[in-house]
Amino acid sequence: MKTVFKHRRQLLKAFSTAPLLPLLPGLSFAAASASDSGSSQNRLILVILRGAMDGLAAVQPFADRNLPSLRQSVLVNENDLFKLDSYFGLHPALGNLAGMYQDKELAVFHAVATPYRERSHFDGQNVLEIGASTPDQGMSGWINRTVPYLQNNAASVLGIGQNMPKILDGQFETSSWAPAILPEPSGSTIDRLQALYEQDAYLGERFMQGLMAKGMAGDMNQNMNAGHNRRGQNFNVLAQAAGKFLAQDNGPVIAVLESSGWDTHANQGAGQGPLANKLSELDTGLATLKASLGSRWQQSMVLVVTEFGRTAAENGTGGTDHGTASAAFLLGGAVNGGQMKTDWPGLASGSLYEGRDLRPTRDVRELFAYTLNAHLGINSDAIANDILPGFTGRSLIL
Amino acid sequence: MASHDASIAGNKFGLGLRPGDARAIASDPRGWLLAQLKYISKTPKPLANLPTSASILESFTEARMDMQQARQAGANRTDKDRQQAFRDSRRMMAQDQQDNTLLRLNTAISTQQPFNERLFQFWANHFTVAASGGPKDIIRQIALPYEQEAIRLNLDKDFASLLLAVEQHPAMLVYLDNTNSFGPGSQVGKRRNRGLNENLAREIMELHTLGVDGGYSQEDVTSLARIITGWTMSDPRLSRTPGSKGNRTTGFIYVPVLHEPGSHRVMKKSYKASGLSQGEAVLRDLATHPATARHIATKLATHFVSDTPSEQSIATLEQVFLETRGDLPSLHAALVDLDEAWETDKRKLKTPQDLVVSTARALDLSPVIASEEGVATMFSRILATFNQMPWTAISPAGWEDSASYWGGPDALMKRTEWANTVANLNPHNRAARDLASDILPENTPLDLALARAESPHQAMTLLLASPAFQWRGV
Repeated sequence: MKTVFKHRRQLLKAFSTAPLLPLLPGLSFAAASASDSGSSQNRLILVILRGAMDGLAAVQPFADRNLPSLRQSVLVNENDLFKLDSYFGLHPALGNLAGMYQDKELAVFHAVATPYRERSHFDGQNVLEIGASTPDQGMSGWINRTVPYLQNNAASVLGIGQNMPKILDGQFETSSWAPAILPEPSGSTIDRLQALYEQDAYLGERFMQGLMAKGMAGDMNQNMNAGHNRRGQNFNVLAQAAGKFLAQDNGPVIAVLESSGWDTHANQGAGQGPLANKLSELDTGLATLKASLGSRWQQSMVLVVTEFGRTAAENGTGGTDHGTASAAFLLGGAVNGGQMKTDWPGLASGSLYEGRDLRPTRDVRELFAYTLNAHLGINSDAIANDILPGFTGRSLIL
Repeated sequence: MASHDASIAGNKFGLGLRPGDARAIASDPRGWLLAQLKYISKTPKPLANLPTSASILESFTEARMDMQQARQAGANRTDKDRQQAFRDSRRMMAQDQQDNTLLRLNTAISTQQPFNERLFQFWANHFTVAASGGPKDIIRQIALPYEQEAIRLNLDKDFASLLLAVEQHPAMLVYLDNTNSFGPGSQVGKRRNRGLNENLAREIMELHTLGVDGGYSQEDVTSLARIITGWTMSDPRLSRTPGSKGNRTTGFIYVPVLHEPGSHRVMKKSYKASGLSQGEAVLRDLATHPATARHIATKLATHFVSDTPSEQSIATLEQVFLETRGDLPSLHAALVDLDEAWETDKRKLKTPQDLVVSTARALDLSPVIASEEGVATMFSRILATFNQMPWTAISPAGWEDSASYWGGPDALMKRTEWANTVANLNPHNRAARDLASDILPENTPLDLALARAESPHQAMTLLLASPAFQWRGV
């Protein structure tokens, strides 16, 4: 529990420094001093997609002949995809990422997963964030364990956003930053609340009016609505802030960003719809991050991961349920991109994990280890013994 | 799962169940409420070291005299110094108000007798005071001691005792301008050609006792205003005037040289000239008047049953009030016995303060608020965001007590933002589902939503922002 407090304190520092009334976080991050001007200026940004991104929709294996029998309403027309090679294509909402792929700044990974093989969001995210093989609520986050291996270590890791994620939790100090307003809940939280409020005869209508006034109302049975545009602002604002911080000379080395709302159980849509909106929000945010990093982009790697994937087949409500393997992105000026990396297991029924999910063939910790080692120069013993204990997977070569 | 009755007891009569409460009170929720009542006037721990109003007023007077001296010696001080001194005093006042806000919240969050605390808050709101700048700034400093001295300490007595203590407290006398009311025929009034201010007299009748339709006339108001001239706030000069009688705890003082002489009629009854006791006699009569019984019964039922309580519930309380001549413990116990209060769908929307307090109780934030300055600051400021800072009600009628007032669309959005923020403070890392089952009755849609949440933080946000958590009642 001590470690939990540690993180909260970070958040609360922000509370206490808030300038005036309507409370809430100002800037608690203090730029690192330029004490070690010889230190590496390489940067790592980790983006956690909470709720389980549908990897098969984001990076569609259009040439897998089993795909059409598994998916119909959530399947994007092959011609609309950004083709990565003769087998995989990026979702049409990922135009900026497609451009980076062409510019060899993006590597795409598929059929990757953490070692976790159950289907609870909580435990799945826990495993992703502690870097271990099984859930352990008491264990610290792997980014936190990275801190002592960084120069300027106290100011070297920055959480962006209100929610201090598990991945930063632990005995080592990290900073945090969030916009100085009472933060809006994510679109996904709003959707879920809306469903609860619909059942309240008195408050339901008022809640809806409040959402409409803020431009946040989402009709969950329709794919397109204006609200999502506004909701996307949250991630974009955070991405821009992250870029600004990391662009500074001797600024933080690692930043963690989160995006929630990927749990597309119903009406996830294909070329358009809620998932397309989420992907577009991510795509826009990543482009903003690149722009905001400026020339620092050349020294940056951005790793985008999710806790697990979704079922290979669509369900009865036009969505997909909790699955196992998903896709991941590694982008940045420092990335040897333009590569589609996967040991593709195929979607034939016999190949699916437990007969339903994309089978994981790579451990997402390969990506963690790669960025720590190849990009931040942390030696592999520290990674194997301390940061990602028990991880004995392959070394990734890009 | 919290049982239906445990939820009514803890969430509607109380200030929000804490984990474990529901199990402890399940066997006898009504008994749990009634057993609290004998402690209703006990000073809560967080308020143990509260200074008295009198001592605050005394140091305030000293400071004012310092300032006057400084002004007289103005030539020796630069304007900059004076401005700085002024700024310092303003800052100190703001700090005091923030501290007092936090103390008040902490008292509610940490109480083991939440029914008592809700009753206290009800009466404090009935007899609200607010600081409004200028000479009324002093209310910021003494509002919390006022609530303690005049209200809490009298909740084990009758309504007349409560009423007297309130109307004889400097906080109320300043707030409703009785400190500026002079008997036109009094020594000082004649000499300085000063007269009545009816504000307090009117609100005593309209808000504190009879109610707006309570059958009083303008003449009655003026008459009462005359009778309570000389009821004011202590001051060294006043306490040296002949016959003045002060209260060393509250800083109240009765000053004969300000008091309008003679007998006066109020509500068709003549009150002979008898100094301070003349007004006390009027207040005692007003306190037991049938219109007062009706007025108080209606407000209590509205607070503890629903925004639209049945005539039967009101009449029951009215009857108890009349039969016991306003005995507060009897009235408070009668609330628990109102079957309508325990019915499903008789709900009250939490006020923002209820929401903040019940959230902190559910998450057990007391120790965190005590140890983490940032959290303390957040809690002392959050009510401003919701427009319900203590001692800032916009009218002497106090805060509204209805869902339509507190449950507007924008307010609901703010509540979700608050939930989203405070969900980060989960010192025991409790799962939202477990917490929900501890503090709320069975609620399948909510439970499903919590089970399907994307993250523990989202689940906690959903719980704290859910409609179920916005209501007192089931």
